[in-house]
Formats: sequence, structure tokens, C-alpha cells
Amino acid sequence: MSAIDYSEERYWEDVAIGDELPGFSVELDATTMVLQVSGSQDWNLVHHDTEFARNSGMPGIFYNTGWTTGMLGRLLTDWAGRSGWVEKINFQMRGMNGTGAIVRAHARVTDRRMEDGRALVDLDIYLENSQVGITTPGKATVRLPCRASEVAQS
Amino acid sequence: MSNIHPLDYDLEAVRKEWIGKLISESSGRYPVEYDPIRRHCHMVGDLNPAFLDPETAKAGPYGAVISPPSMLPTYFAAGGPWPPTEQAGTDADTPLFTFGVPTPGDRGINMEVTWEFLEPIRVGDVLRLELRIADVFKKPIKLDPHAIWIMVETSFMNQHDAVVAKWRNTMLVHRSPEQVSRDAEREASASTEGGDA
Repeated sequence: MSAIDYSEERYWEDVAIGDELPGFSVELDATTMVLQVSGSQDWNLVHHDTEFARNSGMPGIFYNTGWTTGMLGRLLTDWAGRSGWVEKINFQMRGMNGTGAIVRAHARVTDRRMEDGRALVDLDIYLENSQVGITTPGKATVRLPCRASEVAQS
Repeated sequence: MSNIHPLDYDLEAVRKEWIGKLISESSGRYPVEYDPIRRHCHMVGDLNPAFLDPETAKAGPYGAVISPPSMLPTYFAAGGPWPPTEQAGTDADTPLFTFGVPTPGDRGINMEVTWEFLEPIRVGDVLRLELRIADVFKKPIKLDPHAIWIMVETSFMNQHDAVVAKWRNTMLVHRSPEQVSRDAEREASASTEGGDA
């Protein structure tokens, strides 16, 4: 069972710059490797054929963009609450995540602002690998419900 | 497969021909479906009922199961798994990483991704995409001094022609170590000839 209450709202007013998101970790074993192909439908050999990956100059197979996006997306939607909406995700793939590592998805709030009536939160987002450190730094913007708007509408 | 020798590669001609070009107007073969969303969620241990539970999602802010924003809408907007393969009954002649842009190498790695999610994508929606080449440039990497970087911009529309997401992707296309060694022989001899001249 999940410890997250997905029915709860997260309000913009309750977020502060510097807040750390709870995040989560995933161990990259053989099952996870198969699940990344199943979930992403990315059949590129570099993500599941060790010999092909090495022939391409890589140290071994590495996890694909669909999986990377999914990890960062879950990081944000786990936190954003019932009505929170991920507006934007940007990330750079600077290192590879391969079998045997534990990858932690985590994030920190860097700004909180109103733009065209939208209550927005900016975050630095990361995938951090137990063997090689941060492989995927990025930035995201999440729109949250606003208590002030609810009061104004009632 | 590309395998153009770097000495024969005319980057400026490639840029002139390809930047801004509309590459694809793919439409989804299937509507957005429950089970691909479930598989995406299980890939990363996501248990959010907004994506997995039709009953809970019906009472939620979107009135139906939605696709997680992180689930590549490409999957719904295109014709099946990526890359296209004969095994999947899709066009195996489609270039894998280059979108048709000529490059010396044929091995690709995704380097940077930006997604903007504008509208919820619900189960039953029918998506299509328009993909354009935004930039092509050369930037050496340790593995290949003639690596080519290709940036594409894609818009995803639903059946109401609303833009639901935008995607900007930077792909690095490099040569395999074997090809680099093979090409180096000609580069070395060209350099020697140039030095003698």
C-alpha cells in the first residue's frame, strides 16, 4: 500500500522556498529493466542488450528517456496533490543509470510565484544514482490550487 | 544507416535543408488506453489512482483517468513502439535517431528534454503530433569528435485540435568506436596528404 494520500490537496500558500519533496528510490534490478521496456515501449537495444550497448561504446545497458521522465513525473505528481498540475519539466541526461544501482528521485522548491492568475511553484529536480551521483538534473514548474482563489469563488 | 565519412559531411548544407522542416504528422493508431498507462505507472512504482483507478478518477478533477504528464504522448500519437521495427509490423526503414537528417554516425543518445503539459490527456482521446527539426549542430564528445546534435520540437494535439503538450528534444548522434577507428584511417591519410602539399 502507498503511504501517500492522493485525495489530499496541496495548496500554494502552504509551500515555502527551500521545501524538500519526500521523493522515493528505486533499485535497478532485472525486473526494473524489463519494466522500463514494457512501460515505455522503447525497444532500442542500448536499453536491454548489454552486448549491443558495449558495442556502441557504453559501459552497459542504461535506462531510457521514458523511464527517466516517468521517475521525475512521479516525483512531482506524488507531491502535487489531487488538483496539482505539472506544467513543465526540463532535464538533462548527464549520466547513465544502469543495473545494480539505486536511483533516488528528489526535488527542492526554488520559487513560488503568481503568473497570469496561476499559482506556480518552481523546483530543482534530480535523479541521483548510488554509484555515480546525480545523473539527471532538471527543473520543473507545478501549478497548485490556491486557498485565496477558492475563497474568492465561494 | 548513415555512415557518411566526416570528410564528406557538409554541415552547412544539412542545416540549410533541414532546420524548420516538418518531419512527421503522425496520428495515433489507437486512442489513449488504460493498460499502457498502467504499464507506465508500474515501470516507476507510481500508484496514483488518478492514473490507475477509473472509479476514483471519475470523481477527481478531470472526471476520468488521465495519462500521467510524464508518459510520453508519443506513444499514443504514433504507430506503436519505438524504434519502428519489422517485428512490430511498423516501418523499419524509418531513421532511428536522426529523423532523416544526414549524420556521420548512427548511434544515438537523448541529451536534454523539455515537456510542457497544457491540457489533460484522458482515456479515449485520440492524439496526433507534428514534429519539426529545430536545430542541427556539431559538438565533439569524447567518444566522437564529429558528433552531431539534433534538436526537434513536437506539438501534440487531441481530437478537438487542442494542443495538449509540447516537447523539445536534443539528440546526440555519434559513430560507434568501430566506425571512428575505420574513419580515422582516411582522416589520417588526408591529413598526411594535406601536410605534404
